[in-house]
Amino acid sequence: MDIKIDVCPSVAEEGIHIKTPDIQKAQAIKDILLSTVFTKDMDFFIGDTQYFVGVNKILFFETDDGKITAHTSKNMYYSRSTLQELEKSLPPCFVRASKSCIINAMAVSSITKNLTGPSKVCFKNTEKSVYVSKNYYKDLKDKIYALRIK
Amino acid sequence: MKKSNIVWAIALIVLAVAVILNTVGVDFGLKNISAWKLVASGLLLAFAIERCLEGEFSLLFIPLVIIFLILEKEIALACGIPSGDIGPNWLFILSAVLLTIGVSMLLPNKGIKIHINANGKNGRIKKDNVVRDGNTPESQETTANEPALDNEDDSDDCDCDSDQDNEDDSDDCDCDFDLNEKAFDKSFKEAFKKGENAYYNRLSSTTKYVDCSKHREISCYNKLGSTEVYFTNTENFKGMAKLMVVNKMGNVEIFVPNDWVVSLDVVNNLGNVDCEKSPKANPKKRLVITGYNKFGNIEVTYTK
Repeated sequence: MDIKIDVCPSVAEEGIHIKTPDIQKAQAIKDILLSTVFTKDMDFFIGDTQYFVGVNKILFFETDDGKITAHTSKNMYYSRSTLQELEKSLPPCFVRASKSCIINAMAVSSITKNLTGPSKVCFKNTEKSVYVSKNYYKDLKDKIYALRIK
Repeated sequence: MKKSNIVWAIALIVLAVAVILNTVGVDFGLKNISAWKLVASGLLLAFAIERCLEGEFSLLFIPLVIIFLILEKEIALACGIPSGDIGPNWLFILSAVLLTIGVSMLLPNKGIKIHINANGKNGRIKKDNVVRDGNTPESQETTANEPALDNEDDSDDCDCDSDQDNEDDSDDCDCDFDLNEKAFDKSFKEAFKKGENAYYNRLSSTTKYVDCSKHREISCYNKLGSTEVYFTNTENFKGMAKLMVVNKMGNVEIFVPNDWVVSLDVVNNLGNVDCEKSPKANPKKRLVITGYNKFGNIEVTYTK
């Protein structure tokens, strides 16, 4: 891969120009860049304390008892947005795992497939896990392949 | 004794006598009916009566139609129809299905009700269509939307009160264990109703994350499923957390920070409870696990 850097003092916003014959590869590179380089922090809460956490540190979001929780490898934060709102604002590496859960595909370490029920998803550097329902299993696997394997 | 048991007991005894008399050749009106037809019809009739006694009238028609189809030839001959064919079978089956649907719409089954007799010594939980002690002021009823704990019935249980009078029966069961189970079931039920961090899982896999900055007492009921309980936000945690686990033929895995001291007080009945020693035990951070494990597996794992 050839990487060229142009320094243009007149440009208002940074940008990356991708040249490739394969549109899928371009899309994957774009997703990776958006998921890793161009991420911003999000604000969450634990009690009355507001925390600012990098999106790429989030393993997954899930609804628990009507509340939206964001999980990092150690902590669990509460979000005031809905899952639909989060889904729209999150980088492309986040995919639905069930009606109540959105997973960071970049943080997944393993998926244990279960033919009869939801499959177990484990994450890097933590014992935390979630279950991906059968309806969303393929989407998650495709996303992991697109971002990390192909 | 339970009503349904009485029906089945009478049905089986009557059938046994009828089959013997039929084989011997005693004529009691069913001479030409084969033993298998007799047994099948008798069992279906008992089922229909039992369902009626339970208030599920909609389940009456299908067994009756099957009995009719089994004994169609005999009924036709008795009615003077020599061909033995009263009508097309599908017509009777269709009528039974329509009747079942119609009656079930008119008289919907009362659903499962869980009845906690709060003033009972052992907090017995009953699942009945008819609530027996419904007028007790302390009693609480729930519908099928709430966790359906095990169906416990007077006849099936070891009744500790009656066992005090009947020494022969008391040898057959462990009253203390029975009492513990019911106490834990009741305790979970109450926590679930109050919405106090009570997790219920049946026949599925689930992971529950406990926010230790908010919650100190957690209840978990797992039946034939897999539940993982994970303690999170533990940096500033000091003191004691309590986890009550009821595990029946399932798998419960509890993830605890490695500096916590875990006290295990779980009644284990033909299952496996596994808890290693904490690698960095800090006596200021404690988790007390209570409850019971029946034919299942409970495992405590220390996280990094």
